[in-house]
Amino acid sequence: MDVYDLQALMGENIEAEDYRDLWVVGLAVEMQHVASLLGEARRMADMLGAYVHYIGAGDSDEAIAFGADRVHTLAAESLAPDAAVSTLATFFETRKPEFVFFPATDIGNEVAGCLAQRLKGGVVCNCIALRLDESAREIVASHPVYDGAYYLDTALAAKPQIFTVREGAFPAPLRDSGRNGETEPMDSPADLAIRARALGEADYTPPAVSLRKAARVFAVGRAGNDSESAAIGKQIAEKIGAHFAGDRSAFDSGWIEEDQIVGVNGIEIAPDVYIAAGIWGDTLHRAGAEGAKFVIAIHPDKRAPIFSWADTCLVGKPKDVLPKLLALL
Amino acid sequence: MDFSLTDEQNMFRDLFRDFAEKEVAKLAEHIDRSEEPPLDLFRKAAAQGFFGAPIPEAYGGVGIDWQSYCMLAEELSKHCLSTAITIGLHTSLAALSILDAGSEEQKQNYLPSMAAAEMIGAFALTEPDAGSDPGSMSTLAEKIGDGYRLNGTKSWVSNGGIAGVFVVFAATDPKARHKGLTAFIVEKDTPGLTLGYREPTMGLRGLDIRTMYFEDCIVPEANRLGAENGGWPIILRAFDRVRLTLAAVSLGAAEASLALGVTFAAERKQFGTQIAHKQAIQNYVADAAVDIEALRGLVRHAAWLADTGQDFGRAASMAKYFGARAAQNIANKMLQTHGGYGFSDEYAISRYYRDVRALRVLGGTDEIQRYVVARAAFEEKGIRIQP
Amino acid sequence: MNILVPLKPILDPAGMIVNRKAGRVFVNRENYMTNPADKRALEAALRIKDEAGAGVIVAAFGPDRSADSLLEARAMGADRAILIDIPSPDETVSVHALAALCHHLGQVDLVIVGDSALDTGASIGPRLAEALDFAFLGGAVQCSVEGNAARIIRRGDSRGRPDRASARPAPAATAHEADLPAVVAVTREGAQPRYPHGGNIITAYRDANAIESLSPADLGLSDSDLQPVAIERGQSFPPEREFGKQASLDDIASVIGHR
Repeated sequence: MDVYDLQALMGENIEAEDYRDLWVVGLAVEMQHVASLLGEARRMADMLGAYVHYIGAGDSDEAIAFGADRVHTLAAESLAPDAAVSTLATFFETRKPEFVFFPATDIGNEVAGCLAQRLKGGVVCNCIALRLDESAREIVASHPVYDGAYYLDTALAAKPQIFTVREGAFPAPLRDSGRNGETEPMDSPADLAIRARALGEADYTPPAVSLRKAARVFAVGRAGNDSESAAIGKQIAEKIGAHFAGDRSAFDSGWIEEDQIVGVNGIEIAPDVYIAAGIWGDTLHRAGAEGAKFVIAIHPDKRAPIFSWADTCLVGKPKDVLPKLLALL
Repeated sequence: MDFSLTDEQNMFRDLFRDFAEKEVAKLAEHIDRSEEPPLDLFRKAAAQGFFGAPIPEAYGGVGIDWQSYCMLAEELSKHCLSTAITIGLHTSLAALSILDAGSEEQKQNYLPSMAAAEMIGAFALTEPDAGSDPGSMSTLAEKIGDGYRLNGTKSWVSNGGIAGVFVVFAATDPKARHKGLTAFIVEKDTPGLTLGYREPTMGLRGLDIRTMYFEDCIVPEANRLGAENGGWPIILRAFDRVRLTLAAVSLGAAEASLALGVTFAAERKQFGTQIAHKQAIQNYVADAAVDIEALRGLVRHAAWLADTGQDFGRAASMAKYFGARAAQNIANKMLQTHGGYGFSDEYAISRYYRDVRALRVLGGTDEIQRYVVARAAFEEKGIRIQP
Repeated sequence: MNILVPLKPILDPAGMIVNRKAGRVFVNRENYMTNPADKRALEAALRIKDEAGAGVIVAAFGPDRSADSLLEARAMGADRAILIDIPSPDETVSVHALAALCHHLGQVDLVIVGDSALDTGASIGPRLAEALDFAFLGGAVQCSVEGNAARIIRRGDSRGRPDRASARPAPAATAHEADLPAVVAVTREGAQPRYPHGGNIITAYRDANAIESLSPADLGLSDSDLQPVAIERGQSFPPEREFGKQASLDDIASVIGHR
């Protein structure tokens, strides 16, 4: 039962101006991501004394188990952004949501933006943290700027307050299969004008990204490696969409070309993830790789300096470790 | 007194910096190793107007002021001295001499294709036995009919192998020494002009330096630049320009060397701490930073004189003399900061160390610059000193 | 055909140091540059101009810092540059003002925007399309005009990254089109912007009329249109990194999968 049922039951008009409740909209996104939004919405709803609604296709029992009080099921598995905006805008005109959460996918961001405009609300995209101030009934959202160098904290002075949230922003929620909730189908307006037409796959080769600008780099060095395991390293790189590289010793071993050497005397890199297998990691290599936002190091010698600047470390011989890693990925 | 750049100058600096960082930086090492002038890069630079930067728009150039033109040299040399100097000599010596002394027809004929880098310019003055003393040159130009016949040898012609047009000096009245010199515009394919071998050099390896031979090379009168026996003032003004240009090149090279040293010192650990914490290193860095600011002041001041139409020869000589020494000093100290790694060819600092050495001889040796400065000092006492 | 490209000047991150420990952003060199995605949007518009012919109009908010972005755009080939006299508007106010500008200019067929601002993360594309009642095409790496339609190529979704978590190959690029008028958002993977020719820089900087100024009143904006919605409450910082944490092979595999 929610306020709408109460309203009907009591014959009472609970202030029509009021924006209320937390709404999670899942748009063709895996349940895992949506579940974390539902879990966070549940936590906030309990602080505010509000309800959690879920709008989406798929398993409504799952949504309820993760915290939804009411599920509005969409008939279509996925909607074109145009259609999603019209459907949601029409639906929300009367429901007046206070807070709306979308997953921060391209479509989520697009629909959230359009919806904010249509409903005269506010929107913050790509949030990585949300802080609820229950007395002010506002959420302060942290969202990355300058490619994640830092976050801006932004609040919204209009309602609804709409946020698109990055995957992994919230911890995985508790799943309570004993929770109760209600499910109702949600109508789509009949005249959905779809203006953006999909033309199918396009012939497009992305511009070659140089090692210098690669988002992921997998590099090998001589320690605990042989040419076989270096080749496996190359396979891993391909599998995870990383540039394959190495240190000077890998070049001397003939495993990489000269323009694949990472270090001040080679290429200086700044990837999101740098994985170094068998690289000692002295100052000169470090200086070339230190721009990496996250470093994973595998090295047989626990004294290797790379362990002092790697976020995740594994002491072991790459030639033992890499085949297993390849199998796990 | 206002030291700030105008919005326009700022915009140009950003454009030069952007171009140098995105297009020049990635090629610098290759240029040094392969010893090849990067012709593709020159075409790209010319498309932005960098080969005709101070040439007026009417002749296909951009028409920027000296302040901006110096920043072009500075930003380019932060990444590759060979490129900065190729463009600098093409512009300051060859193209601007034609603008300075050329007839309207000559300017229309040559400047647009020079600005487009279709014709790169070179300046043929030095001879095996006439370096800092052009008055003793032995290349002769004899008047014949409606032209001149050139015979002689020129050495150290920068851009020689890639040039489409040469500004050549020859004696039309050898007895009058420097007062008997005449300038000519000579195109690459003129019969009687032969390019000699490429000078192997310790640095500036992307700069194509040649010996040139003139053997009964006939140059039509229409290609005489300025008056007969009027070459000397053209040379003097070209010297002023090239000295200022090379001072700006020194500035860029000094800044780049300092940046390399500072980066290395911030990374390199010895005895448990970054060497940035060692006072010896700090002293190197402080001295370099002071020299760089002093040099910037000299360059800006000379450019200001040039932009306001004043005589900037002495200021350019001072800036060039100070700049070349400062750049060499800084490259040396920053190489030392690199320790053993500085001696490795894999580190850019070693390239700067080799390249900046040229600045103390190119465009007039340190000794000549000091003569120019001293001459001005003694002139006030009514004494005319000899070089 | 007229194409409007909004440009935003942002602080150049090269002059900035983020100190997570101190929880501060230190600005060592206050230098402004055009938002990189906006510059790609401008390049997309200029390419359409080169191929099909179009009037390219750039707009930025001022009075501060925007002149350089606008003049640079003029030097690159934009036909008109408009400075809207509203200092640092938020996303909502920007959208109101740009929509009003389109009405003021009349006959704007295509708006090409950068998909997000590096300094605030604001993405005005979808909202502007909604405000103008134009079609919207987002995530474009290429953009062209075919007949009366805008056509784009979009990379597979990379921000939600469901593909990476499950190690599926990234989805292929897809083509999309919409009839004009439309708003297209270009990503930072769009075509490399051209350098302006030096001569065009001089022309732009010496032309006193290179930039037209418009006030909120010229655009018919009311006070309520100028009310910002996004309120900055400060900055926060990613946690300081902890080095040397030992992990199992499974941990490593899962970290690689999720990053």
